[in-house]
Amino acid sequence: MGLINHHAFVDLVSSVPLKSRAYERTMETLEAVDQLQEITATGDRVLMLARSGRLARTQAEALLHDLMVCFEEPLEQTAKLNEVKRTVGRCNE
Amino acid sequence: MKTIMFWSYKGGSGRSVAAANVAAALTKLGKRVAIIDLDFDAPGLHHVFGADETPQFKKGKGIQHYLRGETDLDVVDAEVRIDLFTDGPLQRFGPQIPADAQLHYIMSSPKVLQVNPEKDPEVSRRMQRLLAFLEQKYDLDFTVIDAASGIREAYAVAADASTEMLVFFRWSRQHVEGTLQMIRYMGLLKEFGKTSIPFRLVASAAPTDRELDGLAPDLRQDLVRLKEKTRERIQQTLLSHEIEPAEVFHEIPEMTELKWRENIRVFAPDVSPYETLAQKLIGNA
Repeated sequence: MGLINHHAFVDLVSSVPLKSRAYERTMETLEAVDQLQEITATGDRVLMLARSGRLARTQAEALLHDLMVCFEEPLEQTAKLNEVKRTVGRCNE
Repeated sequence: MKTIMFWSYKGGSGRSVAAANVAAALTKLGKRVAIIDLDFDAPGLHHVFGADETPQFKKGKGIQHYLRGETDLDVVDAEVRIDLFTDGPLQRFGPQIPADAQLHYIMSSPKVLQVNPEKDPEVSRRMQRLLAFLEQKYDLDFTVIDAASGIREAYAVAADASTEMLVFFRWSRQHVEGTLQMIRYMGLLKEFGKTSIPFRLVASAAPTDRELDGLAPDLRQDLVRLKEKTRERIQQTLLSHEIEPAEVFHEIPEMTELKWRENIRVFAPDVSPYETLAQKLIGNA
């Protein structure tokens, strides 16, 4: 899929292009942008681990795919994001 | 009509006193103004305006009853609104305002009444209907909303209804860090393509050089350096999120008399910092 060829996760989502869903309420929107920042930072971490060879290419592609799903629905996909973060955390150990 | 939300991340920023005085200053400058107390948990504008002894306030009705769907707009107009200069507690200043100017105060009830726009989407719609009603009936130029501090229910109701926001803070660590956090949120909204309300920063109770007189030279130098460093951090944070203007929009110095009395002081002979803020808001209108 070539997802890991991007320099940063934000480049990846804008190349697709991917849009996070709009939330009607102010508080939801603020919570969502917090999550989007977390998703973006996790995506950058995955790309960095893939580049350094600490994460297998196929696994990195799968994680980035999951993060793209999270990006589209940040508040609905918190469990998926936590799962990705746990996997990334294990790579750091 | 401009709807300007007065908000602070932390409490104790002087936001409510500023909201009341800026609303009065706008009226003094000939504008037709409404001010709405959206500090549901701890309303206080009635004390600043001296409205706590009025028959309307003593009835105990507030904007919360309307936002909860328990009363309608006619009740708000008749029982929750006070025309402060015509038949309210600011009547004595009436001769000092231009004939056409008005200040309508929409009270918040001091009773514990929860208003939750996250659970009831009608809350924001009711707020918008109230603004439209007031604008049409009183031909308003400005509405000032005094929103409770923090990112809570009142923030959401006010942000959904306002055209711009003034973010108040003191030069203290808690206030500055909280305000920087809010700037980052605004930056994130922009970064991720979400709409955000335009805002400007107002430093309240800003330390003055006079305040530093009498301090040991080392401490004085330290505090001056701290203020400058804080100002630079604020500017850098605004710049890094491409938020304009990348500076503090207005500074209100610490005023001893106001700290004790918390009243309307824009009719004193000197030009108060609230009046200069009102002039800036008119300039930007």
